[in-house]
Amino acid sequence: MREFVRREIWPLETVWHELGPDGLREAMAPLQDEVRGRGLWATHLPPELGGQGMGQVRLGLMHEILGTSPIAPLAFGNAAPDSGNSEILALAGTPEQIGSLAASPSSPATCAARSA
Amino acid sequence: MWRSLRAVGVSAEHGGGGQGTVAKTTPALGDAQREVLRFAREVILEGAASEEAVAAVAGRLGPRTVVELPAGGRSLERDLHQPDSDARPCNRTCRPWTGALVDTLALREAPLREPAPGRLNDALRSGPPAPRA
Repeated sequence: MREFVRREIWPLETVWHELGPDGLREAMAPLQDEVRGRGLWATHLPPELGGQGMGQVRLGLMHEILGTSPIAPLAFGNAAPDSGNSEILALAGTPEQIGSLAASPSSPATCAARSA
Repeated sequence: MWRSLRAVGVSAEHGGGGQGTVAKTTPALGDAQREVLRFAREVILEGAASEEAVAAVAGRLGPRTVVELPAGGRSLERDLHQPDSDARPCNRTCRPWTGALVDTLALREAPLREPAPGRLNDALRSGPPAPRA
């Protein structure tokens, strides 16, 4: 994870202001796919919602690495406030509530909704 | 390490350099942004950019941009010794690209330094005062 952040995320910071929100979203999409492929997307969520069930303590450990960049959590599906919102949904959300967030392509809940 | 690998003929891509996923897969990137990405990637991964990357950035954005990167890093180190200064000098003076790379390299990889002397830092170092008897 540390190597991925150095290799792909830190360099991206040099141009993300110029890319704007849409361009950043476009740039992030393949990185998010790579993260999903490595089983590291939204890992704080329970497995039945598409995560790894790692919970908040391991999320904090992940953020020791991801916190080196303001955009790294976007690639890993655990950016605030989405990470907390998706946890609340995991605990108490209805299927409709989880599905309502599926419109946001970078949200952890998107993955959760797709996987549920 | 990559410089050493390059010296024996390993390609940038196999050595850890090259464009990276973003530059390969993001149509929104312009040529200048791709060149800055490559430059930044080489500096971050290897600590030095290749002659090709330097020439590309200098040719597109001017030699000043290439010079400002290490110069900005040094000024940042200096500013970290000044307790009351803005520790991110590029927020004030540098171009956004320069600022982002300086932030990336200096703020994250420089070892934390001992705070400068001062009443506040002394108090923080010594911890809370002992309760009076």
